[in-house]
Amino acid sequence: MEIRNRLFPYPVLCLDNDDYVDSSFDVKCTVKEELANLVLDFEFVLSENEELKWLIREGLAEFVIHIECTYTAFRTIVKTSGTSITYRIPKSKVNVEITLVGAIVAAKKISAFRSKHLNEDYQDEDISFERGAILAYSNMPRIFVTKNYEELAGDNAFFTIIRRVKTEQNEHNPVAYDINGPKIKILVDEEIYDEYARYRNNGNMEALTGTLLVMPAVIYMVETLRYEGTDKFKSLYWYQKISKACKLQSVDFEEDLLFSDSKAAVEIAQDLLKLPINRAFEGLARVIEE
Amino acid sequence: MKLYIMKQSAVDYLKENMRTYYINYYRKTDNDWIYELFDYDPFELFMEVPEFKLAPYMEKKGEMDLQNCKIMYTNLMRISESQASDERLWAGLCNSTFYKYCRMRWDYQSKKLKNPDADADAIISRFFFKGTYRSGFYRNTLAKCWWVGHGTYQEIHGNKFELLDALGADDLSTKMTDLFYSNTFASNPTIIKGICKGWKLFTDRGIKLTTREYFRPALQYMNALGGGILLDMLDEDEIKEIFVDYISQLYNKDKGETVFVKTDDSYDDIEDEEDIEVENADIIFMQGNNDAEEVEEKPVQEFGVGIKAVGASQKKDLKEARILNKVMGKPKEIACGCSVILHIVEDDRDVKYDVPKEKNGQDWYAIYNQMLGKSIGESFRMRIKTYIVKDISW
Repeated sequence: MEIRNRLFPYPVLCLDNDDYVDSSFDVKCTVKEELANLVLDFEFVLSENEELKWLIREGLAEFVIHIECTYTAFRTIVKTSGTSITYRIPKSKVNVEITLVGAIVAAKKISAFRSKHLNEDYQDEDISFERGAILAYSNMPRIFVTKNYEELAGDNAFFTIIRRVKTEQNEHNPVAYDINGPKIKILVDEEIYDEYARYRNNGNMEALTGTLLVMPAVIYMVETLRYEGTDKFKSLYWYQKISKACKLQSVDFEEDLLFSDSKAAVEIAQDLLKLPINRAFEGLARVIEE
Repeated sequence: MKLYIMKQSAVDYLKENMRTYYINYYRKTDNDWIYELFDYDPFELFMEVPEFKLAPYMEKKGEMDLQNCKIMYTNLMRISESQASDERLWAGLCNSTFYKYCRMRWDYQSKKLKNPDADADAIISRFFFKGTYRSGFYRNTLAKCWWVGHGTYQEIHGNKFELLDALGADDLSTKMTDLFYSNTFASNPTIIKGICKGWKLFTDRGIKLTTREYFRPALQYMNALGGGILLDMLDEDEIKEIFVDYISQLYNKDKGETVFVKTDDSYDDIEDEEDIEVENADIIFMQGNNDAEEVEEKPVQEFGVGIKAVGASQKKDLKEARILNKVMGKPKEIACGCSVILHIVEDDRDVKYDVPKEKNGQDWYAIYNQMLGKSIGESFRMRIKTYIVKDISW
């Protein structure tokens, strides 16, 4: 769960509105990994709001972390009246991404609430909160769970080449790409696939097939991300894999490549695939010599 | 029993070309044709588990699915949530070990072909994932059963699937979709418990509620409520009360009745009252009672005001009864699950009966047959006594 564009019938302390002035709420999270668990350390920072602090001290409200992984139907809350808490999630219970929201939530019904930090629109208002009301919130950065794709079994590449069966004898379709799944799909006609299958295990032909099939897919991916943004793709396996590979070379995939004005999509694709055109010609030369 | 996953390349190929191959699911009784499509083995061994069988074919698909939820989860509990969210696992099971079963579940041996796109899409939903992860696993024939079993299973003594049983087999597929697929709050076990137990409150008392008119709107209401408050903060009883409260409003509106009574009683108050009643209950046994042989050796509670209760109520039942009285109003006539106070004219005393929820069960006595359907003020004869109905409540 992430709280976005939500209207509340009562004042809420958050970054999205000005219900409170001169007051802020934030939650910091650090993630560590153990062999079988993700260890999440949370620290709540509630500044300049004695009234909300009083509610927590009196047990009328609590600091809450809402943890959810929609990919594995995992959802829970962690509550505390202190300013920090640690929570361990077994890795087997989560996959792909975890969303986190820190909040201050009414633990009991609260009547006649007043705060000197409330926006003047709320002055003289008789404010009450039902149990469960969200008094403050802060969306935290999502945690991406980059698991070994081979948790069950299988290959490790970030793309997959799929043969499209003809429905008519003389049907010829252009190569198509789909980046919405865990892997980037490259959809090819039967003839192309059969040729690809002939050469895929030939080391000299690898870069050539890569240039012909994978490089356009990467160009397509870069252009789509530039146009649509990265948000809906970030949790996907191929994105994580590329992002991680860039990080190993001290390159930030988004800042240094994707949204860098200085590089065209075709250049980025060549960077990511380690100059496949050059290697393709080298391979081609060896094939001809042989 | 060996469980196989389907290799990703095979999953991608079959899904991409389903318009060409969907017909095989209608025609081919075994999965040899899948092997013939590839120059490699499309399946890979995942794990070995003790042999188990899924539910036999039934006309009532809800009953079949309900049994399969229990069977799948009980036998494949070792699978982690992370593994169970992987399409390759369920595509593997649906297309290898349980290929014949999945065909049979959806009647593909006799199903008529309709529209190629729709037919191919249906195969993808049922034998693979349509969409990714969550949207896929609540539609796949077997994954759905595992996940619903997982969501309703409780590590308790007795019936570990009491929540699933509470949902019931009627229209189960729609309920599964409405509850688990459409609402992410269903991932919270406390919320699931509250909802399932709330639904059970009605079904236990023979109140027939349709999924479309009651279950779905109540979930939509809870979803809307979740926009203002954090539902996860509420406990099981609070969720149950919200759910029951909303359904009873719909029910009373539909019936044109004005029996809805909203009281200000808090749950704390209810808890206190129950404690007092149970503590004060002086349990005696009506040994050798000639007047009403049907209550022989049944525990009777005496509440200190001349009323004896037959069939000592559990604390939990009293709580449920209060919720029902609060939200449903009092029943107009005696039905299964009611509490009844009868006045015995000849003895000039009152006796309280808790009519069992199920008719003709182990705790069913002849006097219950006499009193069913009677309203307050009506009387009946049992042996040599006259009983007048003084009060009826849930």
